[in-house]
Amino acid sequence: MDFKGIFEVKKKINAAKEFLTNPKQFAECLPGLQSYEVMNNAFKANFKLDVSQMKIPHMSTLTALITANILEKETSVEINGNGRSAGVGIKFNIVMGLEEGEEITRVSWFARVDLGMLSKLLGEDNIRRIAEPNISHIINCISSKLS
Amino acid sequence: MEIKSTVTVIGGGISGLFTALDLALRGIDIILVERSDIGSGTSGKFHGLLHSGARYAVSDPESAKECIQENKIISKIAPHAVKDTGGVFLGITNDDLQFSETFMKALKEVGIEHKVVDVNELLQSEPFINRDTKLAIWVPDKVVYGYDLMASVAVTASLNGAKILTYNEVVEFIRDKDSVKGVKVFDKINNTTNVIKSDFIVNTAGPWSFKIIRMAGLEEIPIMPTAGIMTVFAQRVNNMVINRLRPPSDGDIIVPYADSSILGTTATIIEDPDNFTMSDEDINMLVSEGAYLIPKLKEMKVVRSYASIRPLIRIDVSAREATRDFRLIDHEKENGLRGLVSVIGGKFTTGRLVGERVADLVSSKLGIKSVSKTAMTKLISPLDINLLDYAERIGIPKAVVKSILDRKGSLDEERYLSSLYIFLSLISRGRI
Repeated sequence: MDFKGIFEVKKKINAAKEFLTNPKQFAECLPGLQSYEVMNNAFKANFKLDVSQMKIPHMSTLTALITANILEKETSVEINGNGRSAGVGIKFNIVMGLEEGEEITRVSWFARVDLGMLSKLLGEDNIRRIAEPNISHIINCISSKLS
Repeated sequence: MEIKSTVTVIGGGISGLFTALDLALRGIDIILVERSDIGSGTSGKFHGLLHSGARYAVSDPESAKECIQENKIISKIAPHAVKDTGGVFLGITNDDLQFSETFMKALKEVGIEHKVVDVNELLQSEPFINRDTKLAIWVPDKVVYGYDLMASVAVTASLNGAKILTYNEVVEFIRDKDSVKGVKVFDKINNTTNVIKSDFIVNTAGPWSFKIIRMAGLEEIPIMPTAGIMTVFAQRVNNMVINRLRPPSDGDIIVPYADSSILGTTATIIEDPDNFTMSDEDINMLVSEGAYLIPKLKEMKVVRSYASIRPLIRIDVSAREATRDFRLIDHEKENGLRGLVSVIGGKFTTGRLVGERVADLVSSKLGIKSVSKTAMTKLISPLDINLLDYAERIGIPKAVVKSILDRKGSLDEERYLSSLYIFLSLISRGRI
């Protein structure tokens, strides 16, 4: 499944890059984050995913364990990761293109997510419905921290 | 051989057994068929908790109300199978504490008794809980000995006229156009095939319900089975049921079951309920989560792990009653097929209620006016029956029964007590 969007932050490109490549800075913006560990350009994170919409009677949240690598380029940041939740392997790839404007940086982002059998259970429309408020939360948080 | 009954129940888990009992107590002729022993599916692989409903008070208050009602009823009708341990929800992190107000408000609204307990006092009786616990809330969770309860239901049903045919697997449905007329079953003990002609079939096959529905010639309901993994530790480290004070999640419940502590659970999506293996990753994740409640778990030996399979219906299919714990599918209304009802979902705690609802529906469809009596019927325990009198009937030498009964008063009385419930199950096993 693909997601994409654009947002602006009130910082120059280097400051934006520094934030987006440092888990210690952006981790706070990730919803459901329980704990994380940083190792060089990689980080491991433990999330609680809100799955109350899946109507599993005995679960409202599920643990997800993710490992991701961060790749910094001149005008982009890429995060590649994989993990596991509900016994299902998850993969994702996020690319953020950075374009400097006057006192701002425009971030054009694209994310490709493979949720395996979770997609079969939930259905794409429902995944989007769950993902969209979380994505808005992340973007608002990043924008506010970088303003 | 052809047998006749008014109702055939498929599946010998807690819901099927209580359905059989409920119908038998209404005077309805019923046969239950189960492909293995009673409780060999999901009902034999849960964590042993008789829910107070507290766990669902916020996310599913209707289900929580059902749980506390059934908690009280089961305790009253089967005290021999229930241990009143109490339960406690531990608030450890700031997120847990933020949840506590919502939690307690929900408990009050649902009508579940609860009280905040002093953490230092709790540490005296539960020395292994996380010492960073900031808040503890007591609730009336209990432990139910699964097989003991199921055997009691089975023998009570049997002595009230139900025939419980274990090791009889449904292999075919008998249909007459838009009606189900019976089933063919293969008796795995005697290697014979029998036909059971019935006016009504109830499908309580748990995660295998969708296979039964397909066998009846209906379109498959898109059910996705999930596995709930439990781990059993070599040592019992809690006396009460220990829960995490947060919305229900994985690894947030530890049950003191006999001499062990059982940690659960997960919601692991699987393809085939008859063919899946637990991964070390999922077990490790479960233990990591559980260690927030009792840190010692990380050092302790996991004796074994097992999994119960629960079906989830795809949410784009079930627009109705999305928050209910179980649902009854009347296939006459849903699919135009008369004579078949399926039960999807349910917990061990609410098995009796499922039986009551199914029996109400079936009675009504059969035009029989009757009410459920299971909430008031004391279930038979091994102490209520002279087991020696039944030894010959169940084909076990009297000497075997006697040698177990003679453990009473000895050093090993408690260790052999559970064997008596196997006798109850054998007594309930019907003969054709």
